[in-house]
Amino acid sequence: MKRVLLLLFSSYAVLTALFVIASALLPILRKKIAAGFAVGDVAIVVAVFLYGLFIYIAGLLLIRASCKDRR
Amino acid sequence: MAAFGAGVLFGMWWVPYQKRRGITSRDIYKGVDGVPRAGGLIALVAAAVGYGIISASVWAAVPLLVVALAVGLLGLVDDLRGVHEYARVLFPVLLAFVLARAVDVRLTIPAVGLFYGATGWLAVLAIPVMTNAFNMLDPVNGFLPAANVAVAASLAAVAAVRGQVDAVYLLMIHMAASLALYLYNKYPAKTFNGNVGSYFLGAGLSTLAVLYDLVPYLILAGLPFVVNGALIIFTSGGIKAREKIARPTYLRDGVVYQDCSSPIISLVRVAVSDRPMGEYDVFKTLTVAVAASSALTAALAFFLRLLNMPI
Repeated sequence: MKRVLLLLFSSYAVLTALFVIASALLPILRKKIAAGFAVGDVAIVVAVFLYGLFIYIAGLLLIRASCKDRR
Repeated sequence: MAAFGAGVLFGMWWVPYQKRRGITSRDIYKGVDGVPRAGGLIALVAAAVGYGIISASVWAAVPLLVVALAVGLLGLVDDLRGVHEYARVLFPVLLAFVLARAVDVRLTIPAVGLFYGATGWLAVLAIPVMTNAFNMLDPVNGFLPAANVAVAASLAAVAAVRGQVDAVYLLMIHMAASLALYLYNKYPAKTFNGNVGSYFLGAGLSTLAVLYDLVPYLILAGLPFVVNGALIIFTSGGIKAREKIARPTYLRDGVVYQDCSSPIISLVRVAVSDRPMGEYDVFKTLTVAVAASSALTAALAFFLRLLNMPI
């Protein structure tokens, strides 16, 4: 349960940190680029990819450590 | 109450009917054959009764019922005959864009507010994403309906803080439908949820979140599903059918072990990387994770309200 909760809480913390960063950058995120699209729309797509990458790396590190322990 | 009652009564007929018709599969943890495999229809019927009754006073119940029913029935067809993996992914995407055209969709980010950009269109993608995420994390008896009760309760708390009374009623129906299914799916399960269960519950909750601008809270409360989906997609190299992904765990004498030679990572693998676990321990670990993310999310909404920040 320890590793699952570690992964969960770190993912939760990173996501809420992204919200806090976004609230500080709100004037920039609201700038229009073209045809109804704002900087925030691009930022959200980039953030989703980076967030997925964070989860993957965190999961990989946890699994590697556990498999190493067993050798 | 009507939704819960309808689900329980329907289950009394549906579970033995599946057995008689051979709509069954093997419970690998217990080594038992002949377990009905499409029990999720219980939640679908229960919620359909509840949404049908409330639709006279809450307009959102109609698009919610249409989308969730369509995706749930796709899951049922998948359970009975099998559906191509692209159809499983693309059908919810199509419904999501139809919904985006039909209703005014917004995406309010907690603590941030609105970008006034095209993020409303991104919000509807929660429907295919969460539907498939729910489908990817239904590993043990009882977990999926129990998790749905926790996530829906969390969203109901957020909606209550925002003053969205209609959303609270609809979420209570979702909880009642999940509880009716839980009675039949709890350990040791009388029936599996099947794709009909995971698709219907995933589509129902995500459509509700889209209609009431609760998508970021759904992602936060249902974070174990998102984490599991991200792990599987990144390690398997894209979206693939569940049966095409090699299991990163193996079973010996009813105990689940992680397979260190597998490149795939899932949340169940992370859970059993601490120590090998039996089925019920896996259930407890995953349920605690969902309960924790759901409780944190309800607390976040109260906290934002206290600070007068956008919820």
